[in-house]
Amino acid sequence: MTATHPPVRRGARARREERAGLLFVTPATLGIGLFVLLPMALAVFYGFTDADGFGNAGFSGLENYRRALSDPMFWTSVRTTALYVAVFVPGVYLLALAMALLVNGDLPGRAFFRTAFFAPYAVSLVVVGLVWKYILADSTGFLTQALESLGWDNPPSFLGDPDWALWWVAFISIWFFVGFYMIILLGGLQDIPAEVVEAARIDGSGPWRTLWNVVLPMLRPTSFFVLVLASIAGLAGLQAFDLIYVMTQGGPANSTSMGVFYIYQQAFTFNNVGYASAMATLYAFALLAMTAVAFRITRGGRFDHAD
Amino acid sequence: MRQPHPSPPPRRAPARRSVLKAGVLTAGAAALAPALSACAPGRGDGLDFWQWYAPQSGGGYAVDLQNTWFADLARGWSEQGGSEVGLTYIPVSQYVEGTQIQAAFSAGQAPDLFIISPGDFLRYYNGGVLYDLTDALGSHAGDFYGSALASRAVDGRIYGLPMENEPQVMFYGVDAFERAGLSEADLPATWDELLSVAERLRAGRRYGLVLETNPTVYQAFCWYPFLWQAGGDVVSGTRSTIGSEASIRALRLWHDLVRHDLAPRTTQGGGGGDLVANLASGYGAMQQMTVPGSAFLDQGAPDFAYGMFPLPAAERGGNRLTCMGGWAICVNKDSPRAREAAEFAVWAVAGPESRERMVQWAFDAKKTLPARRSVMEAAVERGRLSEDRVMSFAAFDVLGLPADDPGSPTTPLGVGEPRFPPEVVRAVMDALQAVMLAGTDPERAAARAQDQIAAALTGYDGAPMGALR
Repeated sequence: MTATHPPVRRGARARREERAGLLFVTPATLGIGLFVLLPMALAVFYGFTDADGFGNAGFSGLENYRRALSDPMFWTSVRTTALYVAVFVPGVYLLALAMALLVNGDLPGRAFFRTAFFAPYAVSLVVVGLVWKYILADSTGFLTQALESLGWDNPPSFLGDPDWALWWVAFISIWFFVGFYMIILLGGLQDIPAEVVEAARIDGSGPWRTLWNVVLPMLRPTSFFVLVLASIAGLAGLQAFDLIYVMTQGGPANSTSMGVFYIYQQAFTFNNVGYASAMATLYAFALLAMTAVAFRITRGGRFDHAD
Repeated sequence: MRQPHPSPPPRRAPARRSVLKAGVLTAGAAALAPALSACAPGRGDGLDFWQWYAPQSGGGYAVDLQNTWFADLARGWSEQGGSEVGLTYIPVSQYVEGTQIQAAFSAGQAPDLFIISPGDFLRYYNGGVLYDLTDALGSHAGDFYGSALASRAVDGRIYGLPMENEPQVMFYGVDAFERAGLSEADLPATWDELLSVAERLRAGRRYGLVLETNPTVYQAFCWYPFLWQAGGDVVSGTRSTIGSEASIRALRLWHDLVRHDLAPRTTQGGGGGDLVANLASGYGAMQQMTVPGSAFLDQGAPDFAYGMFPLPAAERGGNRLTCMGGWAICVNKDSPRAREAAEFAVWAVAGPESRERMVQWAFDAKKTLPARRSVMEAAVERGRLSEDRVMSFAAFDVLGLPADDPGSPTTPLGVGEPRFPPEVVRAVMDALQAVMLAGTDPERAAARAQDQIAAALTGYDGAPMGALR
C-alpha cells in the first residue's frame, strides 16, 4: 500500500516551503542588491556623465569611454593588472594545492600547520602591507640587511624600483591569500573517497601518478572554483588594492598602478567620478565576459559530464 | 432560493508565529528608524569643522600645542556667543590623499568648514563648493601677504583664509655633517654643491638627501621651487610650458640625485615630510621640508641636533626661491550655516581680535610664518621674531623679508604654492616618478608631461592656475 498525502495539503506545504526559501534568501538578496547591484548600476549610469564628485553631473554620452580607450595610463593599468593576475593566479593555486596536499596527509602536527598556513589571512591587509613595507625598506629593511650580510653589496630597492615593486606586491598577495585557497582545496581533497585512492595504490600507482591521474581529476570542480575566484579577485584588484595603497601608492613610476587603483585615483584624487565609473564599467564587463567564457568551457563548472 | 448566510469563522487567538513575525517587524523598524534618520541631511545645531589638527593625541604629527590651539578656538567662538564648533579630526595622509572629504561632498554630508592647501584649491573651486568669503572678510583682506591670498582668490573674490605661510627649506643633521667632516660653512648654496655635499654625506645606510618619492601632490610641491629657480614654470596661462629647458634641468637634478644613489628611492615612516622617521633616524643627512617641520622634530626627536638652510639656487648668484605652502580655512557653499561659518572663519584667523591668537599659532603652535602682516608686526613689536631663531631664519634668510620691515606686503624669495587642476599635477607627478625611479631621460619625461598638460588643458574653462603672485 502506498501512502499518499491529500493533494491540497501537499500544495500548501510546498507554498510554505517556497515562502520559507524566499525568506531565507531575502537578506542576502537585499544585501547584494543594495551594496553590489545598485552601485554597479549607478557606476554604469555615471559612466555616461561628467560627474565630479561634488554633486555636479551632466550627460556626456560616450566621451568617458572614448577617453579611456585613448588614455595611455588606462592601458598601462590594464597591462599591470594582467601581469599581476598572470603571477598571482597560478602562484596562489599551486602553492595552495601543495599546502593542502601536505596538511591532508598524515603530517605530524597537522593542526598546527593548517592554522599557521591560514594565519596571515586573519590579519588586516593594511597591517600586512605596513609590516612588509618595513621588511622591504631600503637600507634599513630586514631583507636588505639580511641580503647585505650574505654578501649582496647593493641590494635593489624592492619597493622603489619599477622592475621589482609589482612582483613584490604579487608575492605578498600570494603569501596572504594562500591559506584561504588552501582551505577550499583541502575541502575538495577531503571529498575524494579514500577507497578510490586506496584502489589506485593497490593497483600499483605511485604517489605522483595517483596525484596526476586520480586526485587532480577529481579535484577539478574545486580547482575550477579556486582559479575563477582568484582570477576575478585578481583582475578586480581587490586583493592588491590595500597593499598598493599602503606600500607604493601606485608607484614607483606607476609600476603598481593596477586598474582598480587607477580608477580610485581618478575618482577620489582627481574628482573624475564619471571617467572612473566608465573605466570601472569596462573592467566589470571584461570580467563578466571572461567568467562567462570560463563557465562555457567547463559547462558551468560541472565536470561530471566533461569527459 | 437564497443561500444561507455563512456563519463567520470563529475568532482564533493570534498564533505564536504571527506574534513572532510582528515582533521581528517591530524590532526591525525600531532599529532601522535611527539608522535611516542618521542618513538624513542636517548635522545638529553647531558648526562642523574638519581638519587634521584636533582632537588628536600621539603620533609623529601630534603637536600638543596645535591640538590645544584648535580646541581653544572652538571654545572661544562658543563663549563669545557663537554656536558650538565641533572639531572633526582626519589623519593628514587621509585628509590629503583619501576619500573622506570628497565622499562627504558627494553624499551631501560635507562639513561646514574645512581646510585645504593651495594645491587642492582648484579641485574644490572648479567643483563649485567654495563659499565666497570676500564680503565677510571686508577690509581685512589687505592685511594678508599678497602671495598668501593670491592662490585662494579668483577674479578678486576670496574663497579661503590662509592660516600661515610655510616656506620650504632644507633640514640637516648636525651629527651627520660632523661625521663627514663638514661644517656650517659647507652648507650647499647651489645645485652643484647640493650634489657634492650629498655625496660626502652618503655613508653606509645613510643617504645624502631625502626627497619625497611617493607619487603625491606633496612631491610636486617640493619640486616647484627648483623649477622656478631654473627659470621655468609648469604653465603660462593655460599653455603648457613644462617641456622647457629649465624644466629639463630641474628634472635632471632630481634624476641625478637618485641615479647616483645620493637620494633614496623610498622614504620611511610617513613619507618625504616625516623628518623624525627619515632625518632623525639617520636614514638621510639632509631633507627637504617646510619650516613647521622643526616643531615635529622638537616633539618627535627632542635630542636630535639639526639645522636648516635655504633651498640652494640653480647657480651661484641665482635667486634661492622657495615655495610657500600653508593651509586655508574654507566654507562649504552648500552648508545651511555657510554665513555663520564664514563669520567664524574671519573671526578665527583674519579679524583684528584674532591677531594674538595667530601670533600664538605661528610662533608657538605651528612654527610657521604668519600669513598676515599685522600678525608679523605684532610679533616683531614683542620681540618674538628676533628671539626665535627658527622664525627669524624663515622670515629673513628664506623669504628675504626686509629686516627693518618684515610686515612689508611682498615676500621676495617666497612664491605661493601654485594651484593646478588635478590632471596637471598628475602630469608633473608622472614626470618626477619617471626621472627619479624609472631612470627616464629628463628630456623625454618633460616632453611627455608637456603633451599630457596640453591635452588636459584643451578647452579648460576653470579658474586661473599656476603660481599667482
